[in-house]
Amino acid sequence: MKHIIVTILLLVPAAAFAQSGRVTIDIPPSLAAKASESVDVNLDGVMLRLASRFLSDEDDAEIRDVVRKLDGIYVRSYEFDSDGEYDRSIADSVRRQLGPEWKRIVTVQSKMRENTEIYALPRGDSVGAIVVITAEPRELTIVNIVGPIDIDKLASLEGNFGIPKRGKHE
Amino acid sequence: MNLDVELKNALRRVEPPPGFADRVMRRVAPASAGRLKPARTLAAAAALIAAMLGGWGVHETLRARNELLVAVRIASQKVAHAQQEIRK
Amino acid sequence: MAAIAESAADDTLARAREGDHDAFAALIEEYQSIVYSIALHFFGDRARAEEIAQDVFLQLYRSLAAIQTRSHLAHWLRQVTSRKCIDEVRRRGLHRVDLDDVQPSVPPNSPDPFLARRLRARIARLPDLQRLILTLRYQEDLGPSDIGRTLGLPENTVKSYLHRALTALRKEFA
Repeated sequence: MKHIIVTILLLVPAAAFAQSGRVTIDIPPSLAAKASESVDVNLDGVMLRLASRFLSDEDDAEIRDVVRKLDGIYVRSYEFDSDGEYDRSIADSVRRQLGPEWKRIVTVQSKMRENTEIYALPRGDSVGAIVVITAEPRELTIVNIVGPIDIDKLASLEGNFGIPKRGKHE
Repeated sequence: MNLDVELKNALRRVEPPPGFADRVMRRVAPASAGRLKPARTLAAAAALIAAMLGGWGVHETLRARNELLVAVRIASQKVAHAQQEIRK
Repeated sequence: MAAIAESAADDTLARAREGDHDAFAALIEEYQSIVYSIALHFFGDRARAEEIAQDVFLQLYRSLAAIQTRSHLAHWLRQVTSRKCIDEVRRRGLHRVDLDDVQPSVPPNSPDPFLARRLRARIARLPDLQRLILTLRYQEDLGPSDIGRTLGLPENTVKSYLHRALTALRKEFA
């Protein structure tokens, strides 16, 4: 009985956490050590707002527009030199936190390429948070963005990161 | 025809489009690529002072800015890729 | 003179490691053609080559502390660029090679522009690893043992791939 109560007490905070849009991304330290490349970003509250104020006017206006209302952005991304270096249960532990209020809006599955899932937490007519899970043989990426987010605008930012558009230099 | 000579020609080094180093530096350390307009510079200075009064140093704040760009880049790439796959 | 130039270049590397962004930008300008060209000859796509090249230098920025000499730097850049090219093909499946993207101008000492174009087209159709090894051999002037070190392959394997690639090309262009 005590075991059940303790389990319920542990589950409730996690559920409440995920309802706020934030998920816990539990990565064992040994995994980061094995990765050939790793990204670990935790930006929320004041730090996120300060960071976005240092985005330049011209080049990063679109990024600032997407980011300015966010409450947090959390990324764990690991690349490995060979297949099968990470445990798929890491992604499962994130999925388990996403209660019924979360909606899986995208699933891309491919044997050869990356498997990507996008989950969204609706807030009225808009999206209050997203979780993106990408699992490839040699890469694991988990993104959690908390706060009102326009997914199409976020996707459109892909072209902003210094890559010249075709035709510019021809 | 001397195949070795032709291969050296066909596979010779070429320069990337102009401004390549600037584009990289904009991702690495935006403060050292391009210029902030005067008004933006004042705003950035004010933000920096606020950060330091709040206990955050210059490097911490600039590092946070760089981390933000990395995070947004990764998020946008993953979402965009998923959207492209769906459209196929 | 060579010793002075070497020392100045090592100084640039040392300053970049200490966080000097101008020094890092100078390193990019010095080595950008190596990185960009490996990716360009692999994909035949300028936009993809630029994306890979930018990622390589971003990774360099994060890894500078581990790089002590220029020769180590050149080896590191070739190795990471090659790895990223192979990984990108694995991630995204087959890539489209656009011939018009590879070289916009006729090579200066090739009398037959159509020969050059046909050769590039044939190189583009080689299997990925053969094309990469050919690029490291003729663009970077690396021997089989250095190519093997760059790609993590035994020297004999490199020689075998090189032989296959050259045999295929000679068949068409002899």
